[in-house]
Amino acid sequence: MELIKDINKKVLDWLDERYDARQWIRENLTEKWVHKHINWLYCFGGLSFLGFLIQIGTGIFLMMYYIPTPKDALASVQHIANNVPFGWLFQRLHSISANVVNLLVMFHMLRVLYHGAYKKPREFQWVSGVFLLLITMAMSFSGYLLPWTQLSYWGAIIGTEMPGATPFIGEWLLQLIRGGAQITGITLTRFYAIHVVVLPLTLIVFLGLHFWMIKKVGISGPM
Amino acid sequence: MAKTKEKYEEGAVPFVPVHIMKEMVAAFIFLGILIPLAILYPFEEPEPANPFVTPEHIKPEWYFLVAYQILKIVPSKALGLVLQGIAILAIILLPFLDTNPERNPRKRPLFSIIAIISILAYIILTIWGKYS
Repeated sequence: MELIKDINKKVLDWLDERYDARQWIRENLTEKWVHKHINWLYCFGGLSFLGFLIQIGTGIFLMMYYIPTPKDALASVQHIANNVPFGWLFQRLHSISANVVNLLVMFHMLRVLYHGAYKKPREFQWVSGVFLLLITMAMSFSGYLLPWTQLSYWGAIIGTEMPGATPFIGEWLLQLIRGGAQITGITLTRFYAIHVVVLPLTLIVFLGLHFWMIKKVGISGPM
Repeated sequence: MAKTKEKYEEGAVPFVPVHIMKEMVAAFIFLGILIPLAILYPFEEPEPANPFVTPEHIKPEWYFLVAYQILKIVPSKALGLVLQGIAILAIILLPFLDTNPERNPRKRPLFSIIAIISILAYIILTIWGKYS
């Protein structure tokens, strides 16, 4: 015990000398004050974040085996689910927790709505939060096509017809999203790039803003 | 700059360990639900994509059922899209539309009524979309 304490102190001293570690711990963790009344309802935001981390973890694993071509996509997903050790668990977690994250983000939103926590001075926490929900939904939509099953293929056709009906720019938008008039291998690689790079990076930027504002302004007080 | 304790009149608790403990418990409950779900809903051998056969009943995932149902009941697709665009814009701009500083939902009846109607509409459209 003494030895652990001693090592602990030495490590902290070393970090303190260079990075003011103890002060950082005080300011951000042990003396970061939050209102006494905050309860379990305030956990949905944190849970959504955990869900996102699970998606990143399982997603990277799936990327190692997934092949984004119409010929091999489904076979590679089946290979993950049937042959890769624990592949079934990662595949199932990725697909089920995508659903659950959507639900958690909505619960988080309802909590904020109920508490009026979007009001001054937290307007942009709300705005960034709505964008986080929209990005989450876009992630779900782009990921849905990737296994290239009958459901995902026709789901993508119907889903992309929606922006296609936009007045004036619809036709152009449809071509842009599909990479042509039809859903093909070009659409698949396009959705794949958006799903694993563009949307996660955008999400991280918005999450960073969201967290930074929460830290700056603080969690809303009692009503 | 960390908030000082004096900023809160009614007392405050440190984020670590008091609130983080709640978050951790919630996180374990979440994982405790998620992993059994992954086992209870195993991977089903799916039908491969076939561009030449249109499936009869194709429904989006539950979070898109609202959009799906609105497009179905509004006669013009463009109008349905514009309506959804307005709804999303209104949600984004909510803090600038509802500038009343009162936060208690019981003391802001107009907001509460609109919010409850919107949430009910969302749920009804989702269920309708599911079974239509």
